[in-house]
Amino acid sequence: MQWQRLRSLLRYANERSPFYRDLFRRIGAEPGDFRTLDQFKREFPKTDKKDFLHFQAEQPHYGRTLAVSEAEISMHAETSGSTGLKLHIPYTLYDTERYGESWIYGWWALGIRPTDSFYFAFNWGTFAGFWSAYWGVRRLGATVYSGGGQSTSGHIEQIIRLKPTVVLATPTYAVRLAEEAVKMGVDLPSSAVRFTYHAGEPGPTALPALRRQLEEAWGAVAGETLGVAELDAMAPNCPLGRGVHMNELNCFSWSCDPVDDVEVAEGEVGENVVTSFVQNAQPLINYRTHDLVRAYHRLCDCGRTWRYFDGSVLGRSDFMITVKGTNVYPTAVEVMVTETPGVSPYYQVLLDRLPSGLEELTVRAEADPKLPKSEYVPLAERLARRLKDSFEVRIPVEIVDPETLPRFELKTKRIIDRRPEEFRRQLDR
Amino acid sequence: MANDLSELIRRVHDLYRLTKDCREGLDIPAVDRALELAAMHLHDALWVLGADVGLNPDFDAPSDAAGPTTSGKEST
Repeated sequence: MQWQRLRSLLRYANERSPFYRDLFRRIGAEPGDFRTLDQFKREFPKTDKKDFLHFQAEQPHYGRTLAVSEAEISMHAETSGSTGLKLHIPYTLYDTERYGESWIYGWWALGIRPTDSFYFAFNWGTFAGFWSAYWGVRRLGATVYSGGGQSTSGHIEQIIRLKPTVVLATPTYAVRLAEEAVKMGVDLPSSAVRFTYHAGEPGPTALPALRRQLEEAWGAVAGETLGVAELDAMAPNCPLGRGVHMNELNCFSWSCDPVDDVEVAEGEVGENVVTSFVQNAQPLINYRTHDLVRAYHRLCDCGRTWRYFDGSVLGRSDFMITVKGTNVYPTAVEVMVTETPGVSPYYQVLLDRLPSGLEELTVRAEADPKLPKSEYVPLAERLARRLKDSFEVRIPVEIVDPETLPRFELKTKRIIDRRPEEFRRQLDR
Repeated sequence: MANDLSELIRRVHDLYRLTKDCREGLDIPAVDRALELAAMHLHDALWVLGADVGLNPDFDAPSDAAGPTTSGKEST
């Protein structure tokens, strides 16, 4: 079935998108020349966000990549621009339907049904993430409660008054909401909320300590979907809670070695390369996500056959750094930090380039408010030792006072890259 | 009928074609739009059922794929 869909997409892209028409011409092939999925993986050029940013800069809004007329675009979204430039993302109405459907698989797996009601602790804007969740709630047939325009305490008041059963927020903001509730004297576990659901940052699947924190604070089951704004809400959580499954109705994906581009074996870490059947407005074919995953394609204990990513995304191929000769994934450092008692959920991973040319990571973390100041140094030493034991490299740790690091409502900026621009890849700038 | 997948796909396909036929030459914008949306949702139903349809209602020729792949990952 995926092969049929891929063949249809190749013909569609060649007929409708100038970018892909040129690409086929450049490689001297027709869509029908691709006869197998293996051949497609090996021979179809990979596409990348930077290609699309380039064409958009050259010819706003979408450049040569569009496959529909602008009149057929039903919704425009943008990425946050965390890699430098905002990516413009067009969707047809049909794209929004299928994108919404992708969210539903994760909700349904947890037990969320059309009788549930969703509170969006989200200020809308142009960020695709929770707009697409909104399309999903509409499609599911559940109730939408908008939290747009509210302060954090305003969200808590609405959640208590409106009694939603599901709260949608980035994981960090859900923690922030729970903290605010405590300050307000509100007992969230006794509220109507039965599920919290997340996207946009490493969530409860990637960070087990974060799951515990969310589930205790809300007295609810925490779930997440791994999405890429321009592709799809493509990988809903496995109901067993330790990974995500690629939605193979809407995507074809495989893993490649980020350095030599060849396919990696099952169970090996590789970069997730995705072809989306959801994106008709701007097709994305053999698209590099830069997400590093450990994938298995077999029957999961949950009963699903869709490709499974153990631990969700393990890191980023464009942000894997070499610290004193050792490859370190900042996400893996984040896991270690969140697992350490005495550290609050607010921390930063600082990346520097030393005069010697070596790169160095430093962890700066807020102490838990209950921790006496005299414990800061022992805590820093303890965490640094754990990091050294795990990564076999020294990562300095600095413990700072509570409420001194910045708070964010949307994507939390936890990895602070202080390297000079010329020592970073284009998309890291 | 609901348990007979091929019969279900055939009947949804009939509805889909009928809906598209009804739009031909139609000059009532509200009804045309309603039928356009109906066709989109019926195409979506066929998609979810795994029917051999094209990418969208505007590009819905069945696949000409002859078939098998060597990776073993062709089906869901």
